[in-house]
Amino acid sequence: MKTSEQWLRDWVALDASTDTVADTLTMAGLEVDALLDGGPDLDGVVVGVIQHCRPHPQADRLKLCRVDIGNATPLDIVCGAPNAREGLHVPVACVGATLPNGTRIKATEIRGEASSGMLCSASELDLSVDASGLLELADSAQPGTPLADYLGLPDRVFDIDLTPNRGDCLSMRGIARELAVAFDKPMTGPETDVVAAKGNERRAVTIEAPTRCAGYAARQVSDLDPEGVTPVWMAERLRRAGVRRINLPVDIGNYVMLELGQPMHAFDADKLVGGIRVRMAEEGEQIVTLDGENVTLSDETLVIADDDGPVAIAGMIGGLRTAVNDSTRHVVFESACFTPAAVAGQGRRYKIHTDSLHRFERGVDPALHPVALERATALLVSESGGTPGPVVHSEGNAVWPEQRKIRLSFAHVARLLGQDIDRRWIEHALEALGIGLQDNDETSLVAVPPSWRYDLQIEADLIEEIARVYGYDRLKTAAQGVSLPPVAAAAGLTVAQNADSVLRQRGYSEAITYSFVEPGLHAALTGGEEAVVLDNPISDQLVEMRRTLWASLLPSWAHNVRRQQSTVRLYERGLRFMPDDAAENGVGQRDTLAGLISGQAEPTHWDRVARPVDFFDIKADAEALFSGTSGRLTFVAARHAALHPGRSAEIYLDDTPVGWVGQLSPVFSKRYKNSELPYLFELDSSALAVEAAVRFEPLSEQPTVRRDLAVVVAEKTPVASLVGAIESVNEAAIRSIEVFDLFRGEGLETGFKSVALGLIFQDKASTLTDEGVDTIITRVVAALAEQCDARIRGE
Amino acid sequence: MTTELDRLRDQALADIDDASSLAALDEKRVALLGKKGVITAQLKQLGALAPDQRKAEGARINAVKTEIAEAIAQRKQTLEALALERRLEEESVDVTLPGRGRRPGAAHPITQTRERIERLFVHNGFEVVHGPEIEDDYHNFEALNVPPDHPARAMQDTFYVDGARLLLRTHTSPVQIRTMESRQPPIRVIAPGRVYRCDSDRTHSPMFHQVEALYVAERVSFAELRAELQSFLEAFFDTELKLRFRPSYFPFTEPSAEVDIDGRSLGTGSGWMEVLGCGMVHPRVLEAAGIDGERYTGYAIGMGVERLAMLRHGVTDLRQFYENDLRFLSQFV
Repeated sequence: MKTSEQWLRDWVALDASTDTVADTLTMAGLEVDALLDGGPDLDGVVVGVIQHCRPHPQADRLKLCRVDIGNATPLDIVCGAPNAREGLHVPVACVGATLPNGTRIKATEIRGEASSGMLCSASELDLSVDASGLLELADSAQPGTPLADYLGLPDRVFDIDLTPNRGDCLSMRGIARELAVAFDKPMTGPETDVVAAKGNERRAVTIEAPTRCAGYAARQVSDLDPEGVTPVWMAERLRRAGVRRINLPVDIGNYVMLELGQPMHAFDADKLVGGIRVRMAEEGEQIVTLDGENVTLSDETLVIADDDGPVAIAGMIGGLRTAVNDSTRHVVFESACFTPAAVAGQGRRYKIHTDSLHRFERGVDPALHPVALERATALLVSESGGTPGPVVHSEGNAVWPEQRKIRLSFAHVARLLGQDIDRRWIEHALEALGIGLQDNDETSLVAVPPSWRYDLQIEADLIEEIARVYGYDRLKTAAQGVSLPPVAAAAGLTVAQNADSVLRQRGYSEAITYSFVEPGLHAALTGGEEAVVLDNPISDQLVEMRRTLWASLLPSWAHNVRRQQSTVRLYERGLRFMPDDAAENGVGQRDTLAGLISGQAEPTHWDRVARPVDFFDIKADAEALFSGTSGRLTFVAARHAALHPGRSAEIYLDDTPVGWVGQLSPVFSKRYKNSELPYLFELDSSALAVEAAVRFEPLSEQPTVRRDLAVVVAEKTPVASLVGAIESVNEAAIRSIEVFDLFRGEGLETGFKSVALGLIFQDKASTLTDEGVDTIITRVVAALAEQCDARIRGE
Repeated sequence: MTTELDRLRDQALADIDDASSLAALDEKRVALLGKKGVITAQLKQLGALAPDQRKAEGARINAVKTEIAEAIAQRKQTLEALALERRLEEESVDVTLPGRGRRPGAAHPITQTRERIERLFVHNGFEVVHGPEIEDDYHNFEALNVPPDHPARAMQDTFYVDGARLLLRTHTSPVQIRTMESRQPPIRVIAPGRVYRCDSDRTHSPMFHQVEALYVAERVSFAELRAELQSFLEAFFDTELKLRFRPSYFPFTEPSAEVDIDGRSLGTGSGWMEVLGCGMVHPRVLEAAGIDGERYTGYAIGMGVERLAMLRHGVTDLRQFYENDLRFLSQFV
C-alpha cells in the first residue's frame, strides 16, 4: 500500500519527522518496506495564466502566448500544445529550470519569435504519461506559485507491506487512524455529508444471495459534463498511490477506495438494462471483463447482473458491456459490501487479482458503503456537475463481521504478556482504536470491536492490540526457570550424527539436494516404479518426489565432475517418498542415507600407487556405518535397475533388507559421458539405529591360536558361503574368521580360485591343545568339502 | 721389568683409543684382560718373584689392570654413543613430506547451522522432533488456523500433490500440531527440517530449512519468549545483540512478532535485519490440538536455517547451498 506522507499529515497533525513516522508505522505492525520519492523535482516551474494566445505568424501549429507568472512583466512563450488558450492556468518552466528529463530551459527564438520559458504537459513534468496537451490547472491556482507548492511536493511515499489481517489499513483512513492512535492525536477525514438527490433516476436493487452481501447501495448521477476531467490534486494523489488514471468516474471510484477503503464500481447507465440483481452466476454463464477477458462463470461465483446477464463479478471486476468511457453521460455508482466468504477463492479460480478483490478478501467495513457512495457522488457532482438521483440501498442478512462481544480479563493480559499493564491505560488504548467498552468490573471488561476490524475476534486479539499500542519494545523481557525432565536424544538423531561422523572421517562431504527430481533419470534409476508427483512443479526438472536419493545426488556428482573434481565423495540424508497404502495419507516417507564415490580410492601420495575406487571401497564404507548395530550384516548379489548387475548387492541386517550398494549401471554411460561411473550406496536410516546399551562380555584370559587354511573352490562360489560352512560347524572356540588372500592362476585349474582363511581359536575356560584344534579343523574341512565342494589347496 | 709393564700399559691405552668399533674393542679387551691376555700373563709371572717383591709388583700390575679396564669401559661408552648417533641419522625421515591417507569431508553448512540451533535449544530443555514432509492440508494449514481460501495462504506458495489432496509442507509448524496431538503440556520441542515453497530466484529456493520451536505450559508469557530469543540469538552469533520485536501477523500466533537484529550489533552495517518470526500460540491452535487454552499458554518460534547460515558464514547467494560444489563444501570442514 503506497501512502503519501502529505496526505497522512493532512489528516493527522504531526510534529514527527518522516523517519519517525515510518518507524512508528513499522512498530505498529504496518511495516514500511521502502520510502519512495513522492514526485519529481520541479524547481523553477511555477503556475502561470495565459493572458493572450495568438497564432505564430511563421508556423501553423505554434502559438504565441503571453503568460502571467505573478511578476510585473509577463513572459512571451511559444507553444505548440493544442489546448493552449486564453485564461488557462498552466505549469510554466522558467528560464534556468531543468525538467525531470534533463532538458534545461533557455531563452530562445523559435521561427523568429522570442520564447522565454516553456509551457508544460504532465508528461514533460514526469507526472503522468499524458503528453496530449498542457497540464490544465484549476482556475484557483495563483500565478507565480511554485508548482511544487501547488501540487504538494516534495512528498514522500511510504510503501507499506500490510499483513493479511489488516484489511482495515488498505486505505488512507485506516493508516491515518493507526498513526493517530500511535501519536495520541485526533484525526480528521474527508467530508462525507449526504448529497441530496436532485433527479429521480433510480435502479431497483435486489439481493438474491443475502448471506454473501451485507449491503448494496446504488445511485445514478445523470447528465455529466462531457468536459469534466479528473482534477490535478486527485490525479496527483492517485499517481502517488500508484493507481493508473482512466476517466473521471472511474478515477473517483478509485480515489474513494484509496481514501476510505471502500471498493466502488461505475456502470454506464445507458448500457445497464433494467434493475440490478446480486445473484449467483449460472454455471457456464459468460462475461467479458473490463480487461477484455472472456470468462466462463461457475455457479459458486457471486455476480452483479442486469436484465441481460452479468455486468460484474462481485467485488472483483466489472464487465465490458456496461463500462464507463469518455462519452458516458449517466453513471450508476455501486458501493457494496461483499463478505470475505463470498469472494474467497474466486481470484484463484479465474486468475484475476484486483485491488477491489484484495480488499473484499480481507474484509471491508460493512458500515462504510453508504458513506463512500455519498463521498463519490459529491466528488463527481463537483467535477462534472451531474444530477444525483436517490440512493437505492438494499441490505442482505450477512451480518459480517457480526456484532462481537469479547470479554477481556486483566489477569489474562498479565499472564500472556508476562507483566501487569494499568487497566486505565488499557481502556484508553482500546477506545482509541475505536473499540467500544461495556460492563467493566474489577477483573475484566467487555469489548465491542469496531465494524472495520474483522481481525478482532477473541481475547488474544485484544491482548495483541494492547501490546501493539503499548509498544513491543517497551514490553518486558523475563526468563523463567523451566524444569522439564531431561530427554534421551531420539534414536534417529544419534544415528544421524554417528553416520555423519563416520562418513566425514571416510572423506565424504555432505550434500543437500532438492527432494524433487527429474522424471527421466528417476524412472531409469527406479526401473519406472510409481512416484509421488507434484501438481505444480517449479520446472520440468523438478517434478517427482524422489524414491531414491541417488536421483538428486547423481546430478550433484555430475556437477562436480564437470568442474574437474577428479575425486568425488558425497553423501546425503533425507526422506525418500513412495506411494504406500499402508502409510499415513498413502505416502511412505523413509529416512534414508545415501552416498556415492568416484575417482581415486585415496589421494595421490608420493609413495603410493594411485588406484581407482572399486566395489570394496564403498562396501567398507557401508560396513563402517553398521559397525554399531547388533544384527548380522550380509551382502547378497542382487539386481537393481540403477546398478551394474555384476557389481551390486542388496544389504541385509539379519533377515531384513536395509539397502543397496554397487556401481552405477553402464546403461547410464551415455548420460554421463567420459566419466568413470560412481559407486553408490543407499540405506534405511532406521536400520542404523543402535539398540539399547551394549552388553559387556568378560575378557578371556586364555591364549588364542591361529590356523590358516587355503581352500580351492569354484570361481562362482561366494566367499561368504565358505565362512557360512565354517560357522555351521557351530564351534564356540572359533572366535573369528578372516579372509586374507585370494588367488587365481598358476597351479589352479581354470574356473577355480584359492581362498586363504585365517581361523582364530580361543576357549573361554581352558587352554586349547593342538589336538583339540586339529579335531575342529577336521570338522571344518569336512564341512567346507560338503557344503562348498572345497578342497584344501595342495591336497 | 718395570719398564716392560709401563710399555705394555702405554701400548694397551693407545690400542683402546684406536679401537673403532665395539667388536674391535672387545677383541682388545680379550687380548689384554682375558684368560690368555698379556696383563693376565703378567700376574701369572708374580709367583716367580721373591715374596717381598711379589707384593709390590702385584699392586703395580693390578693398578695397570684397573686403569686399562676403565679405559675400555670409557671407550665402549663413546663407541656406543657414536653407533646410536649413526643409527638415528640413518633412520631419520623428511618430516615435511605430506602425510598419508584421506582428508575428512565436510558437513554441509546448513547442517552445521541446524545442529548449532538444535544444540542451543536442547541445552535449554527442548526435545528434537520430526514429521513428514508430504503433509495434509489439515496439519499444514487448517489446524494452524488457516482455513481454505484464507488470504494468509497467499503468503506461502504451496506445492500440491495428488490433485491437491496432499501438499509439501510449507513450514515445520505441522510438527507442532502433531506433537500437541500426541502429548499434553508441558511441551518443549523443536522441529527442524526441510520445507517447500513454489518460488525460485536469488533469494528464494523451492526447498529450504526451518527450525520451529514450541513451548506450551502453564503461564508461558511473551516476556519469556523475548528472553528465550535474546539468549538464543546471542549464543548463536556469540555476541551481544540489539533486537527489535516488531508486531506482525501469523494466523497461528497471537500476538505475533517478527524479530530484527540491529546490523550494528552484528557488525553487518546499519539497518534492521529480519531474522525470524514468533508469537504466542493462537488459542484456536491449542484447541484444535486438544489442549486446554484456559489452563495453558505457549509460544512458537519459526526461523529459516539458510538465513542464519548466510549471516553467520557470509554466504550471499542462496543457490550455492544446493549446488553441492565441492569447492564450496570443502570450505566448511
